[in-house]
Amino acid sequence: MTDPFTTLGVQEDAGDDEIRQRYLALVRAFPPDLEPARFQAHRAAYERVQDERKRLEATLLSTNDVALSRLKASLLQAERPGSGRPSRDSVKSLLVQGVEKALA
Amino acid sequence: MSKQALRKASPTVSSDRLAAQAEEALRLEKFKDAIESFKQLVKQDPRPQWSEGLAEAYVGRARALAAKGMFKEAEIVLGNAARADGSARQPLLLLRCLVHQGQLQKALAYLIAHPPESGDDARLAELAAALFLAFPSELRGAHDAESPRGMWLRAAAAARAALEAWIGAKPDAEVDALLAKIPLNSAFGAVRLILKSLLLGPGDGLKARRLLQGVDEVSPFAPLRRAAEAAIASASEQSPGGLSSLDAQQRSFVIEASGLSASTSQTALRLAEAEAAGADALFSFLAKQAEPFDAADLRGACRNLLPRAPDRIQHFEKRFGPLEEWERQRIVALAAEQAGEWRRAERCWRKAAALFEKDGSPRARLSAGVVYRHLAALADRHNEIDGDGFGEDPRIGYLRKSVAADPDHLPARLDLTDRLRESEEPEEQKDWHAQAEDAAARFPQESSALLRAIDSAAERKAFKKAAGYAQKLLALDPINLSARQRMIDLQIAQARKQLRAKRPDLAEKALDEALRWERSDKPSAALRSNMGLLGLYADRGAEAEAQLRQGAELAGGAAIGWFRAAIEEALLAPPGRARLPLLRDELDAQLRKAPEKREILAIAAALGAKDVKQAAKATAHVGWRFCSWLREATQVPFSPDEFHPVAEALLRAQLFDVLGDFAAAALRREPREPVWRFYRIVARTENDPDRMHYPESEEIFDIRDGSRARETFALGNRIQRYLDSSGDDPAAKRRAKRVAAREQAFVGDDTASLIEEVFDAIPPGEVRRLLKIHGPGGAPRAIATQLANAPTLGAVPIPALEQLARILMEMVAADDAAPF
Repeated sequence: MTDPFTTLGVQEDAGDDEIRQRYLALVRAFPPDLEPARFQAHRAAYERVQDERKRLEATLLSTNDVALSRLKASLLQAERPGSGRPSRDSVKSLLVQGVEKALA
Repeated sequence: MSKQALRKASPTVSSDRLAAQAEEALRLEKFKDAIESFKQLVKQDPRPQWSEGLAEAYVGRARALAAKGMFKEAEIVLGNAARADGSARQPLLLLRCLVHQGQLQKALAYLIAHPPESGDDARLAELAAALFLAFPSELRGAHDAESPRGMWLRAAAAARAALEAWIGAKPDAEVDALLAKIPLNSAFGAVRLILKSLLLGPGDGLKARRLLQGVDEVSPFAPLRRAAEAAIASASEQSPGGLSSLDAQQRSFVIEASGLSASTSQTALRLAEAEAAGADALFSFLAKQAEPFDAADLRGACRNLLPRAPDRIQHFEKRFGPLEEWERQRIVALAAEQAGEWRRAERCWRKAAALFEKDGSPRARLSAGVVYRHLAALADRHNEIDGDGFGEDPRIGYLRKSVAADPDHLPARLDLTDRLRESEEPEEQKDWHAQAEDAAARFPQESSALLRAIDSAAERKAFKKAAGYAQKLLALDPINLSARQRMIDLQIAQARKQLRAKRPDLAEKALDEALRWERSDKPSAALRSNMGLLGLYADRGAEAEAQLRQGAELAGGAAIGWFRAAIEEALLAPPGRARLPLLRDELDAQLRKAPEKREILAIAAALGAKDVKQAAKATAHVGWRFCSWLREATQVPFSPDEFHPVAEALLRAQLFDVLGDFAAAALRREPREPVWRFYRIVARTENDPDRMHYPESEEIFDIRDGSRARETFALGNRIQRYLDSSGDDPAAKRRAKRVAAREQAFVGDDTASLIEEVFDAIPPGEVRRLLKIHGPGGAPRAIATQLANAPTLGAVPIPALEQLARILMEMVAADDAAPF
């Protein structure tokens, strides 16, 4: 299971307000009627970090991937996101994988 | 039948018989035999049904071979069953064989030569579409024809053109125009959805994801769909860094689609691979990185890997600087938990918590509270967690520490209060009252804290205080029905207390207060009865009598109502006060009628209530009257479960003869029922296990063991209470004290002489023999039974003899273990 900070995309030291704002933004982006599974995941993550005690529980008693996610995000930051194109080989290997799985 | 045998036999076997054999072999899935038989038949006379049978047998054999992983052989066998135009009878099976052999292009060539004819085989059509896009090949045929093949060819051409245009980074409008040519209901519809979502992705993630939901999870396009999803999520920054959950092909797709430079793409790929390889590999990768990564993020990411790679702590400190001591302890504790080393985890968590406490800042105190609560939770699950080791329950110990560090955490306080209440340690039992009061004072708006404070105050008979808490609870939740009832009960209890303290004025005040909380549509029987009783004590005559009668009526009327009213009187009346004539007369009138089962059960339940049992002396006369009345009811057929509360009431009233009559009558109905056999013994021995005869003790142990084997634990426990003399009747309590004193005496100074006497009755060899036969569970009873036959030990109660038997077993075991 992804840790709540990474699920919400907030830092470990974010405050109550910041976390709430982020959660509400995610609810708008992934409304429960259209994306129920994601909404549930965001809701569960929010409940795990919505106050200071819970955040301490999450940071002390388990590990999280917040810093790693930030590293990846910084790495994947492109000038025009999504402007790249995969090679023919990448597409081909995914199609072959699909055929093999469908006939497995 | 073997091939050779078949060939030998064939000249003499008629066609009909051979056909029957072939059909039977096919039905039994003996495909090799079926093939041989059908071959013979077709050779003799190529009838269409035999040719079909042969083809069916080949297909069956091919399927069996494929199931064994023999795909090459299966393909060859399946080739034997091909139709005249070269098409396979089981195209999916053929494709499976080819794909498993890696002959994807051969599979595509087959599909192009024999395209799926109609829309009924959508799966085959999608496979053909996916293969065609993976291995573009020339398409021959009339693209403009309105046949299914023509339509497939047009869709295939459009899909290939659209995919090429997107890969070639042509303008979105151009790709869009090509996508519009792919019919959504064709086998290439998934390609249109995936490419369209990728075009929309960075700007409209929600719409893009909805489009992708149109691609089935079992479709051959599913891996491409998942990669597109990840690419869109990555581009829209709503779920960055989900690469590790993808496989290598999907990761490549996402990174290439993200628009990164070649070197950054390479780093991203290596990062994703390191992550997939585990914590150690990822740590190594990250520890080596510098630019363009943020140093704090690198440190944070590596620090979070340490619990999964604790051997890297030194490496980490060398690279990023020293860890704080609490952090080091936390990391080691988490690593120990992952390894299942609970003692080590406890040690480290305790050190971390102590450091937090020493720090003393508000955040550090909260952190200490979190760690202690975690230790309490660990103690719940793992026996290795032993707390301070001074005999205190570690869960209670850690919860105490947690509350001390973070007094405002309500769940921990409530947990501690509940555990103290349930504890068997007298000191901890006392402490729960302090904790409950403290919680209510600190959290006056929390109903859970107030409920516990009510329980605590009522337990201490501080009814006024309990009522105060109940009032606070009702202020928070005025329509809480159970809180209202609780308030009424508390005020009645307060009235009883005041009347015993010779303060009828205060008692009336308490009942007036209770009346405030009574619902007009649901008057309380107990309250009305108590108001009536108090009024009659104060000579208020008719009004009070009416209230008492109303109370009796509300409690169930007739015998049930008047017995309940009598119980209320027994609980309310101060010691020495004469009983009210009205009540006595009404009860007498009821007792002239024979009791009904419904009445007996209701009254027995009322007499078994906690407050009635606590006031055993005051209510004894009501119980006695009820039980005497039961003489008229020994033929009433109770079920064993129904009878237990009735039996308890009879035992409390010490009416053993009535209990015996019930047991005898019931045994006539159900001679084998263990409950009735048990109560027959209880009645005969007058609830005193010391009075059991030897056969009775045998029988009672049989019933107990049988009930445990049948998992009827209520009876098993009831029997054990009888054997331990731990019933709640006064005689049983006195006997229990006697037995305890006697058992204590057995292990005192006279033990040696007693043991000597015991060994005279049963030599060590016999103890060993019985231990071997009955095992450690059954041996004490078997030994005790033998001891009971010894003249000098016949008077010793069976439970005490069992205790002796255990001592004997230990002595024999110690002798056996001794080196000489």
